Amino acid sequence: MENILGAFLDLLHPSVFAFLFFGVVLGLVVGSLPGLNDTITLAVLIPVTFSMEPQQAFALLVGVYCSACYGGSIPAILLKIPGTASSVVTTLDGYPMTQKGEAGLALGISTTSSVFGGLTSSLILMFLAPVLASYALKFGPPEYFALAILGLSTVAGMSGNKVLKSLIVCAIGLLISTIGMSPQTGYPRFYFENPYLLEGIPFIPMLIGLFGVTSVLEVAESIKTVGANLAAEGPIPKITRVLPNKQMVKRLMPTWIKSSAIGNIIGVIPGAGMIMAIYFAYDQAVRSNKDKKFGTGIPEGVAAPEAANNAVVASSMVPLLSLGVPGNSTSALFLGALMIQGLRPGPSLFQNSPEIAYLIIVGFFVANLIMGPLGIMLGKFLSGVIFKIPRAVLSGVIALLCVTGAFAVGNSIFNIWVMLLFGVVGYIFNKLDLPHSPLILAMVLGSMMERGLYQSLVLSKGSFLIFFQRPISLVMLIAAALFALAPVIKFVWNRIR
Amino acid sequence: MKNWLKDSILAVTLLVISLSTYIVSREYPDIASHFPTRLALVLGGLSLALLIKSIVVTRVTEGEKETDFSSMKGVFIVVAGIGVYTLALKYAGYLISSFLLLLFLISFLGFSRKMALVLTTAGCVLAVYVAFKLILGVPLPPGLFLEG
Repeated sequence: MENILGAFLDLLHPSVFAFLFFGVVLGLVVGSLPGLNDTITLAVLIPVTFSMEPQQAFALLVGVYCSACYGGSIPAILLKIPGTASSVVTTLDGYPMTQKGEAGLALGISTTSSVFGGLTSSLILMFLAPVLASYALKFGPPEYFALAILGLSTVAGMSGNKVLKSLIVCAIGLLISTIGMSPQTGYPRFYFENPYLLEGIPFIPMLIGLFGVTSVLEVAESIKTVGANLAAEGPIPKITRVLPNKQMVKRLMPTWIKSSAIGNIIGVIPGAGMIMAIYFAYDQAVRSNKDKKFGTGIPEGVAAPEAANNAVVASSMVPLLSLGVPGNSTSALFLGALMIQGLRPGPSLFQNSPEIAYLIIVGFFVANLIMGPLGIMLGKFLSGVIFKIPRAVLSGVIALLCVTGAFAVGNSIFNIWVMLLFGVVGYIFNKLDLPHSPLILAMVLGSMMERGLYQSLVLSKGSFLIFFQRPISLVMLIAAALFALAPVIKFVWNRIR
Repeated sequence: MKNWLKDSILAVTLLVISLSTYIVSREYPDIASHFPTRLALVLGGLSLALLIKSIVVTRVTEGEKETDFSSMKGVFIVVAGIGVYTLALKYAGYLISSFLLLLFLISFLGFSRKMALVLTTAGCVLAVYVAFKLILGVPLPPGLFLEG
């Protein structure tokens, strides 16, 4: 407790607080620009922090990491383009809310949900970091395989009456994830002699194409004759109420609690990733609110992924700070930043440099508090601007942001081709009633699934029983089977009744 | 196009893709081929199920429901525009090619006031350039003119 109070005092020092504040603002801006995210920004900032005081350096990095994840939800809600991968699911109900004239409420729900998720995970990081880290380390290859299966089983809950098409898209996504070098042997597969494909399909350009370019193509489709005037707009929706009222808070509270718990649990598992957390959370929201038609602008559809993704942010630091094992690519950058400052992450960090360890933890808590009002201000400002722009100009600017963002990911023109290809794929998917979400989920989980499967089989000398002999893996596989079979069970149950 | 026909064409296309994927991945060394070959089989099975469903169920239940593919001219033109932009980026550089792309897209999508079009395009390109290149330090392609 003494360390926590000390960290609060350190953080309130004007120079440290200024860096935290600047980090939050920078994170919000980069998060809301497609193609840029926390990882890229931290990678750019880490060399800059070398000459800074450790407290200032980590305040800056924590601010960026914390708010970039939330910033991505702003374009996801207003433009249907996820600013970061963590806000992919937010587009599903966020954008329909904007179309219904509820952009302000969607932004408010996104903000409050993100702050709720972020604060809970900061508190968990403060008090339960060592306990959670030891639990996370029990994950071996069979558990990762089972986790991937569990993740994919959420597709059943999201598919509605498109189960077959969702499964097809899932299989396509898994096949796409095999492009590039085999995770076991490094043998190149389906790379068409193109060296850029050796590392697989670049994920962010794919996302930008699937959402941003597809939306531009849909506008282009609505031109029956070239030159038709699309600039004529309806009345500009006025953003009045932003913060959800008491009833809405009461309604969203169960979703916030469940989604934050999901985010915290998945966040502490190294490598599990934010995408899985947001899909799980959304799936849980769908299952808990069966009377609501998700995908049409349901507040829970915004609250669930936003609470989950910000819960992952701080909880992904648990294995890093407690054990020295980075939970994801962004926390791996934190590892680099700690080493640059001559610090050694792991249990010794809390003994040798408690002021830094607790400053990072408390930094997440304070950054979430700053992020709330700043996020609402930025969201209101951007939405005020966006709704006044003619549709033709807005679509053109979206296309420009997409190509620039795709290029910025790896400074590669190849990424723009990938973005364009997936833009066309997204458009065709819409025409063929194929859902996008299973494609993204399967592409993320494919390599984890393949690696987990073959490493497990090596461990068990080829026996599939290994997945049923380990308790965590068994529980996850049973849960996956229940999730996947839920539509069938429901159908049979209804017939019996 | 009728929905059942659309689904049938999709199913046949996916069957061809899964068959080619299966044949290609069988050539890979043992461990590298396991996962993709099994996935190709799964995709093939699912595509077959879709084909059967579209012919047996969708054709009967959805009857005359159709999807409109007739207004795709604009889509092709925008895709071609972005394709040409991507090819030109290396030579003309970010500023020039982005200005031309945005000018083309905005005017093609229906914004017709000429002076405002040029000013808006220039302003937007400069704003994006400043945000990415000058503030965030992303190295955007300078092109042959500025490089030389």
